[in-house]
Amino acid sequence: MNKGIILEIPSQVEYLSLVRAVVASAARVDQSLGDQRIDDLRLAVSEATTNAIRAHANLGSSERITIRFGLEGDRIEVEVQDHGSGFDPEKLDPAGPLTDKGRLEYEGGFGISLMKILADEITIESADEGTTVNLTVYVSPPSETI
Amino acid sequence: MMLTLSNSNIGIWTVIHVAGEVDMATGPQLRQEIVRQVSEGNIHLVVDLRKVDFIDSTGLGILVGGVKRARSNGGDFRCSGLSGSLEEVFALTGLDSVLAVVDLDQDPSSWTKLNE
Repeated sequence: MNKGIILEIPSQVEYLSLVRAVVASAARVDQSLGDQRIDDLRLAVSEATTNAIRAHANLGSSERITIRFGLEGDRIEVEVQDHGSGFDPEKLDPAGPLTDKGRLEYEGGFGISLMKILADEITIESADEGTTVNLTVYVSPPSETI
Repeated sequence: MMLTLSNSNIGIWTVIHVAGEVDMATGPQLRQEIVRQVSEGNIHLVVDLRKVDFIDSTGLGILVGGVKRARSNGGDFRCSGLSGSLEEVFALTGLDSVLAVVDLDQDPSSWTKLNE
């Protein structure tokens, strides 16, 4: 696919708001995407970028994080690539509902589940040399696309 | 981007007014403020999110921590002023099942309680 915008950011949390602003502005180029879906995409990309920054911090890495944004036909695709140590997406332990006993003891566990809910499609490819998260939001719901 | 925090009081409740975006960069400010308020004995807290147009998983986690911190000290925790997108995030994550959203313009005696 044609990646329209490539953003390389230092692995610092101060750049999260910049990433969100760029993604939201780029998504608005397609005027058929409503504000709610843009908000969904903005949050999903922010979560993926936050995880990437966290992965670099865990390694002490100062490498940059790459965000590629593509607006193509019926969809917007965003790829967030880091050079962290990777993880096995299949082995993520879901934190469970907040109403579960003891769940309030743990503040985390929202990020990846939010991405999965907010994006129409998500793929996570992770290896020892890094992780790439692909998020797709359809301009029209997937069921209406051919 | 900075987070702006200020406080006011409604009866026994201490209201933390938040303005800006709550994420991994700014969230620690909010967490520190909640911890400070509880440590000073202000255990009934409301986080006013009317001027927040973005909150991520870090921010949600801080609110979860606030619920736990306030209740474990004998108090309680509410939030107020969710915009459309924040309301959606609260519903998607189930945060609305443990954290009541209240209207600061109404009398606290009418505020909803959840799962205490």
